[in-house]
Amino acid sequence: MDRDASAPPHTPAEAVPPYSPDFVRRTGLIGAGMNAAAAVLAVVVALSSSSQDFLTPLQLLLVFGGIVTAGSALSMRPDLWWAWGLFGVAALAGSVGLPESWDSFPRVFRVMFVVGTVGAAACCVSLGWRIVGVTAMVAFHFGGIFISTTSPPPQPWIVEQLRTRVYVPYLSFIYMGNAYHFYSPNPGPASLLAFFIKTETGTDANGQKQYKTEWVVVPTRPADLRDPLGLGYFRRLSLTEQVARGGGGLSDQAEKKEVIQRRISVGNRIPFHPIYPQESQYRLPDSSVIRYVLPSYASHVILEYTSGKDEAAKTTVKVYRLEHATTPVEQFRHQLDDGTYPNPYHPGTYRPYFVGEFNARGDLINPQDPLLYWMLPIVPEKSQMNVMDLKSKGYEDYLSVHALDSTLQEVMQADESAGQVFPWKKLSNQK
Amino acid sequence: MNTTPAPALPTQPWWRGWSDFWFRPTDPTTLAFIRISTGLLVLYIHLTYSRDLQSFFGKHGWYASAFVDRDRRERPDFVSPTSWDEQISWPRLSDFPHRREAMMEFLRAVPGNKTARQNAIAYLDRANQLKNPDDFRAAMEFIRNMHTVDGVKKSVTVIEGGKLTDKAEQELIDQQIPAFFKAQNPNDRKQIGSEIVAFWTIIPKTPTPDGTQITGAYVFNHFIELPPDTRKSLIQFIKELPEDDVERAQWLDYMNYWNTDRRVTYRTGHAGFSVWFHVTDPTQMALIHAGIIVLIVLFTVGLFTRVTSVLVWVACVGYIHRTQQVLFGMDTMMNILLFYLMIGNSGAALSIDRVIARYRATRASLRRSGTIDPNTRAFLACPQPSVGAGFAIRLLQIHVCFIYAAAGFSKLKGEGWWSGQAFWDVIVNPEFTPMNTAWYEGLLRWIAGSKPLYHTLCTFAVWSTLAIEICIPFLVWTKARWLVLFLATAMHAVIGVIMGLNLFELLMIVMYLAFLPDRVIRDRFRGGPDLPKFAFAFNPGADAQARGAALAVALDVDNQVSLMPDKTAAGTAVTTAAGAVVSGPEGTRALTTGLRIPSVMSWALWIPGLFGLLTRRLFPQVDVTAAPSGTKPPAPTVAAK
Repeated sequence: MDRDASAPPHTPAEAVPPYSPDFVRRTGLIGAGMNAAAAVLAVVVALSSSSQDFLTPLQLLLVFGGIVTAGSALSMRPDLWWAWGLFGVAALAGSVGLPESWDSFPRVFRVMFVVGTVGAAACCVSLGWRIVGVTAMVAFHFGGIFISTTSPPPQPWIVEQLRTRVYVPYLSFIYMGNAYHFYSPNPGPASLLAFFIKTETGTDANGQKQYKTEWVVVPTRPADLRDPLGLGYFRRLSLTEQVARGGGGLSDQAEKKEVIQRRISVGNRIPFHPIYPQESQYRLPDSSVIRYVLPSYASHVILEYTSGKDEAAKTTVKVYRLEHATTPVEQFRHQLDDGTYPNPYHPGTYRPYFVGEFNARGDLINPQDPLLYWMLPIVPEKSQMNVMDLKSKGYEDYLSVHALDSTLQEVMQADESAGQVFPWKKLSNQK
Repeated sequence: MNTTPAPALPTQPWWRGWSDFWFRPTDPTTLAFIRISTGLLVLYIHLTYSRDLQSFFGKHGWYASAFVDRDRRERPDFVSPTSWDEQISWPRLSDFPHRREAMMEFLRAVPGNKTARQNAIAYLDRANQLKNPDDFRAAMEFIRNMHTVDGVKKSVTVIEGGKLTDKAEQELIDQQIPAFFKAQNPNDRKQIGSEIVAFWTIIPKTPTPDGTQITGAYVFNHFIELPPDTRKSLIQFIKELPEDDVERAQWLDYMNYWNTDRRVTYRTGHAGFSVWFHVTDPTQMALIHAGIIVLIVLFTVGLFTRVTSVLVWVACVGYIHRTQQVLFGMDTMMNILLFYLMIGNSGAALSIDRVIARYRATRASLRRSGTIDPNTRAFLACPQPSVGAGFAIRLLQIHVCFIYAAAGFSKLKGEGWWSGQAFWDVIVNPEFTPMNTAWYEGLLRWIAGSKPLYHTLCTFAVWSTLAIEICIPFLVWTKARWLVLFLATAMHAVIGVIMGLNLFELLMIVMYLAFLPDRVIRDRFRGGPDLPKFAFAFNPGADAQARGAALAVALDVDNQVSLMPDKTAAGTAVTTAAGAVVSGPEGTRALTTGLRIPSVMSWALWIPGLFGLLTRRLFPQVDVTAAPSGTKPPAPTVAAK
């Protein structure tokens, strides 16, 4: 498969004998041929009235095998314009040959077709033109990167126009639309997600419905530190960050009064947090979080923690976002009466927000829940105490009161290890 | 191999400067080292996915297939118009779930038939025509306050000029009628009355315990609170809803899910691709994931790098596109590195590809002349400078500058980065930092114990963060490059410890490798002068022996092996530094323990069959068995070099 190696190389770069054009051509043609066969199959499937799903694996094998083969041929001799051309042809045929259900990949193959075509053209033009072409591509690429870095609001009009009209398809394809505004403008607190899963198990002798309940908290240490570098833990923290987006309060809308009224109506059972202004305890999540992120998370948790469809159908999940406040330095250095310091994982450092109760389909069960998007206070026992006094015991847990539809007295008397009330010890014992 | 020397370029200074900047041939060893470093990190990242494959990428994962499919096909993208005169509004619903639900109920109740719909929303349309937004509000409040069927009947009676038995009630309603309705002639007022009745029928109602129905205020409130342009767009949307039930349901579903009218979007969907969009069967997913792990290993060791680099990028971006909810900065950096490693030939050095190229070059030279010619020797001595490698490294360098400029300048927007508070907020974050360890908490308490120390540290930390991030794009091109790279590496190391984002920091540090001068990496990989020397005797006329010699040279990256052509040799043999002449398994053992790189990789010889294969190739059995009985391998005589 090597060229005639009888002539000594003129330069060190020529020391490796190039692959013979015949071998490259054969390989490239095999790749293009496989994809052409896949394209024929795709046409047959399209024309056929009956389902031809059994052909899908064959199509995939031909398409992906074909493009790798054609790509291998190209990698052997990227100096030959027709090697690029064959790769382009294989990619074009592959875009047709993909099964209909693989609808995210034709674009990949079309991009490869363009790469093949541009590569073939580049082989045929002078070096000067090649440099001009590559320069244009570099300018376009970094133009997009620059536009991305300037795209977070408030953005100039021209940036918005260029980004949306020109760059979004390119940048989202290569996933380079990040603005790199890390910890900007200011670092914020992290959040956890708590899921209270409630499955109906039947009725008791009095006809009262009985439930099996379980708390799931994401993420927790050390449970989610499953790999040495803790990557799984940080990925779960990212899941929670998605839900923290938004944070809009109550604007002067007609519902403001009604929402506050609803909240006040349950104030006896679950009071407002004593130190934050009442309205600031309402956090409307981002539109996307309400519409699909939370429904998806809730659905996932129900399906993950139930044993089958029947059980899932009888299960709902209450979702809470626990914003974990960072301790101000003044408080952090403050010694308690017993000489100890406040625990940074004390329940009082968390600000739980109820973000909805969902069923297994991800439907929000009660959009008019009086506590929807409201903070549930976790405050030291006996409200006359300093609310920032983060002792390791004696706190009023209204998160559990809400989750269990219970009273504070019942929650205070409950044994945390029994699995009913929120497992605060699991969080505070991270230390 | 993209190892062609620099071609002749035009001579104009600006052109030459530009070309030199981007297309200067560069030692590919640096890029290759970046490949290995990146590959190992990417391998780790994807191995950790193994346990979470279903929960992150499965059909019912955290972001389930049903949701991501809608996302990639339907997500709306908007752009503001290019003309001052065009409208910049599109219809939308409320983010309050209860109001959205009420609005959707209303939209679904709107008749499909256009004539019936026109009648049903005639009142809304009439109010919408009013120029003054306060008038629109008054018209909506008027109907909102009717509440019940009875209330509607009474109000309509009054507006049409009729009389109620209860005069006080009549007066009250009369006061509520907006002035601009009162000013209408009797016929128009009758028309308004019938429009109110028609409109009221499609407003969602809530049954009450006494059997009547009341209208909620949400629909009216929504129309009232929308900005006039948005309200007009929403009413237009209602008017233009298709008559076809299926199509209308699709429009409404899109409105409910994406909060807009599909027609006003600039584009829908995104260009992401992923095998996980299409494969959701757990077994198939596991098999594909295993295949991707193998690909990453091949890429890391540099086998078929030109092909595997592309496949690895496509595969890794597939994970990214599938579930963006689990991503953070680390994935962005990984993608950047993989993307540029795909562009330059990162397999031209420190790779199995390089070993194969060395073998082929040696083989070709031996075939030509029985010796290694000067150009082949130069090729074997070091990888040839490559335009592609230089270009990829330059792309990476420029991208790093964009990252730091954006990260640095964007922090200037935050008060915390001016006051020093940002540093405290970062180091005291209990979820990211090792706050759960006694040493870390103790350290923070020690810092917090002294006010001057606390403030000095916070100020120093934010100033140095800003200084490093903002200065890198400028100083990294100057003689201060070493200093800023050192400081930046130190900064990332500290962040890695404090924030626990080890992989993110490691990937950032890998990016800095692109700024190392040519040969720095290569020289670090060179063996010293005291390495043991070997002489490899072979018969250049015997094809199998020449292949064995080429393989010995291919494995020797430190010039430890001298070839000894001997046209009378019956088989290949290696003479060790101690003067022992060995072949067969002993020869293989001598080479794999004595040559520097193979000795590092000698653990791989535990792979079943590999040692035997290597022995057969280095010391071809066929030649040994073909030799006359009692023939011994020849003693080396003359070095080929």
